[in-house]
Amino acid sequence: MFKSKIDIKTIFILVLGAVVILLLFRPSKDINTHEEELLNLETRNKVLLQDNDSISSINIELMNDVVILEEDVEEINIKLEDSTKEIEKLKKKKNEIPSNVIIMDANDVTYNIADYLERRN
Amino acid sequence: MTLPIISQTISKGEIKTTVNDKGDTLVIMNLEDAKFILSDLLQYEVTDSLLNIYVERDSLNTEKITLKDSIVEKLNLQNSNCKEIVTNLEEIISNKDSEIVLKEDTIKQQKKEIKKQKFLKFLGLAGSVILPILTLLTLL
Repeated sequence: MFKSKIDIKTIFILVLGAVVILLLFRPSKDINTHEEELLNLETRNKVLLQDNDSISSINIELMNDVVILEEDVEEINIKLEDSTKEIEKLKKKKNEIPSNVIIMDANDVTYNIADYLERRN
Repeated sequence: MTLPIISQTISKGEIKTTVNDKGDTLVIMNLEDAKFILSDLLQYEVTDSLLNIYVERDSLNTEKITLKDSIVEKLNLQNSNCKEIVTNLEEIISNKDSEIVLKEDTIKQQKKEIKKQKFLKFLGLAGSVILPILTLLTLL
């Protein structure tokens, strides 16, 4: 009785069912997670970040050097300012000499010339 | 005794020398001339001091220029380093963008697979209900 029911139609349905099952349940292809490429990119980024850290350290050292140099420049500026004051003082003194000498008497002139000669020697 | 200022018999610009009784050579000149000489001497002395200060200033300015050159050199180096940091950061950003693209591709694939699996799950569930009913109906 069971054998009589397996006709061409049943075989066709079974074959069709098998094809559908094979099509639907075929093994899926692996998902490409690009692991190797991602790892390479991450490694490269790590190297770049390390380079940046090294460069930043060098820059900090350079900035410290610049600060020291600027302090030295500031010291020189103070010396230059002092020398400017000294120059002004000497210029004023130089301008006052003729008027101071003109009111000297003979004794003062003699004394000052003697004093100059003593300083020179 | 006559005061020196009014005892001048020698005229301005005139200089005489004489030897006194003790054998000393005396240079005689007008007091005004002596004042001119003294004034010039004192001014030259001050000028010498000024010259020394100017020499010292020149040395200080040279040192300052050298220091400023060093500062400029170091700042240039620092600037160059900052540019390198920026270049590196740009590369990092580019790499991160590439990472995002790759991860998005992975997510896209995974979404596709999830969608497929959901469909199969639905189909399986549907089949497990419909097929037995159809079989029963056919047999009956």
